Amino acid sequence: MDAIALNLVPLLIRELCKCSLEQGAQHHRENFWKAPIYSFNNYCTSFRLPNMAGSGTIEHTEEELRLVSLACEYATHAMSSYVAEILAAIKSRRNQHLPAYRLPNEVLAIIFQFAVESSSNRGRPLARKAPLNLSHVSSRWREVATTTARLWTKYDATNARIAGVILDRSKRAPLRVKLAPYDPYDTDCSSDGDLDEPCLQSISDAYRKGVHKFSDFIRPLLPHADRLEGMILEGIEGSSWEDLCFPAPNLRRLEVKTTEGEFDYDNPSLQVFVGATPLLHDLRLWRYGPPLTSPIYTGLVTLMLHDIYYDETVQDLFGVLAGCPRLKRLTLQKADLEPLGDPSLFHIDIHLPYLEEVVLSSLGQDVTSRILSSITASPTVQLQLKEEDWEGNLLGYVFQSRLFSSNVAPFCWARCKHAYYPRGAFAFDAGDFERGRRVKVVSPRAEAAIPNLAQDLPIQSLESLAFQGMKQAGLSVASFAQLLADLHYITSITLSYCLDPWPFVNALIATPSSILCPLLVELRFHGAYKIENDTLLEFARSRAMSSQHTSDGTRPRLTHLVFSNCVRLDQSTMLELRDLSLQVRVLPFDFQTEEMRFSRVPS
Amino acid sequence: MVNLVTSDNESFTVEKAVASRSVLIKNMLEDVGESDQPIPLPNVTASVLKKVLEYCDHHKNEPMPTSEDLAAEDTRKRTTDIGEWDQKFIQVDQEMLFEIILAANYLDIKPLLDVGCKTVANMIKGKTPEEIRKLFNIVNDFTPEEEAQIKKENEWAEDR
Repeated sequence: MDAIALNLVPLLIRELCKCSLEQGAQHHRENFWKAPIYSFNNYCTSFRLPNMAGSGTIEHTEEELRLVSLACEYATHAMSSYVAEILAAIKSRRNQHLPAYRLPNEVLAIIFQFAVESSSNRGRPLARKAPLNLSHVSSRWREVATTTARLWTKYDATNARIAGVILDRSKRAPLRVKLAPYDPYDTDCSSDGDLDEPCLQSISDAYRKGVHKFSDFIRPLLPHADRLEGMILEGIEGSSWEDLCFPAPNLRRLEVKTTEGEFDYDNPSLQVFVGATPLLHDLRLWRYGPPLTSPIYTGLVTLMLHDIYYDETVQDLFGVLAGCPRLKRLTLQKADLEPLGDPSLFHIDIHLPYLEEVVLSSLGQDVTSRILSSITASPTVQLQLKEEDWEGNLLGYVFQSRLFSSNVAPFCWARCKHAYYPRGAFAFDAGDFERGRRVKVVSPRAEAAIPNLAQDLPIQSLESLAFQGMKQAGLSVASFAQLLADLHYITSITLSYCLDPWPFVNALIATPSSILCPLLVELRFHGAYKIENDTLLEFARSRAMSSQHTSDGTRPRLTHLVFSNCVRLDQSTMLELRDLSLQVRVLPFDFQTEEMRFSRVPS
Repeated sequence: MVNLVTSDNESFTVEKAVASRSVLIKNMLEDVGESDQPIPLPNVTASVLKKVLEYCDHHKNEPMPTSEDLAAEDTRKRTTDIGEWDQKFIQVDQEMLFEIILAANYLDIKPLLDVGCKTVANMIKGKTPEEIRKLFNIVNDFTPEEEAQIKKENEWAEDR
């Protein structure tokens, strides 16, 4: 039967096409290919099946009817199969001639990979989302898409609907799981975002469903747990941790933002990932963290803990750090630890030679001071520290701490910035010109700390100093002058968004008997809403006269004045400044002073 | 200077630094040493090579991607961002775009291959299969079996 269909059906089509070509019918197709008007009546009335026993009986005719019906059905099916396949084959042949089809499969796979990785792809409905949409374009694109495993390794709330397809086509490739709300305004997503409202709604619904039915979201992955490479779970309830109870031997990155929810935080039987995450090196947790004794904290390169209450002590935290000798980044923000039983007995040295970034925020004086005094880090470590309450001198403590004692590179620039919280606080950041910022500390009580900065901190070789948003209430002129009196190598001062910078400028006016910052060659104003011409000119005249001989030798003269985001200088002031051979730069409103702060004053 | 001969027998004499953006040519030059012999490029026509050389000339002073860069690429997130100059450079018709990609692939100029591939990726991302077909004049050539499977996938993919 199959042999008959395979021979006759193609023969019928081929003969019809041949006939059409012979008769030149392609030129008058409509007539040639119009529906057949002939009748099969004569062929049908004389039709008899040969060799049928009992010919002429009702039974015989019924048998004949049954057989012919089956044969017709078979023929129709064979014909329609042939038609679909012959047409698909010819269409494929046509596609081969397209410019797009000249690309070899491996290049097509690279293009598909870029489409999958594009930032907006995660926020698209499945019909428009790579790689599924790409696999529905044509036979060849489908072949390339479905056989390129790396295209199918992202599992998210939308993809979860086709979990079977994703997990099958990704073969043995590592999987990256992300259950997070899609934010089209996120800088990471907005570059090519063109998503409409219904589309965003659908993505948002899928995410909510994933969160509320987290077990359903995660279940398809369980047979593939050994392929999990990264998991980002955002907004899951505390109880969802109970679903993470499978070994994840290849998990490298885990980021979990837990919301409030019913969860037995003290459940002793809960062992996240059954303690089997030997390759985990990047762990970032919000609001819930497994106990610090959990093996999940071992061997990390990045550890970030935010807003987590632990019923363990800082000693247990040090146990974690000691188990991460290759730690590079450490963030502890509002990690609430229990007090030590007898703090006087506690002393520990932790050597973390690769530690490059440390962020400590709102940990309390006891925990922060223990961390700073117990850890030795890389000599180029960058520290950000914020403490609302601190008895004593926080900045002085930081720079004398063990964490910074190995910090050999001198600070070249520093900035004192008004901090809105806590009241009266200021942020101090400093660094060198080559690597940018090395330390940022938000310290309470600006007025008490700033005058003594140069005595408390190793900043005697500072070249560039900036004051940002400092008000006279936070920094008096006397304090300003006291600080500068100890900084002899300053070549550049920036006054940025200071409500009234002119008393500070006044303090910088050189007199025959006193001069602050004798090496000053540049003064920068950023965001000055008022220019006091008299003060500015007096300062400029006192500093810009030709190099003066002093008892210490020749003193350089002021050469640069910079105004960015400032009110306009009046013409006569500008002319007079230029008469003093000063280079006056007026920068546009959108100019960022960041690059100025990090660069050395041009000679 | 290096002499390159295209498939349509046109000669291009270019600086070695420009020609060496192509790993294929760079390796050839290293293999044969100093030579005046023209290098035949049988898979590249003159009009395409002209564009490719324009790209190589603009980027001649940039560091070549190292093998570590290429290895790290697999683990790094790939973006579809394209530099300003490259965007203008690649504003060509579809036929030329695909020819440039083919030439970059053949000549082994990874950054140019990426620019071309990102451009195509940017053209197709967020589009339905039908919109992509229309964009590249592709016809649906799925067999009945493939059609049936796609129908099933679309049913699963439906927002329920």
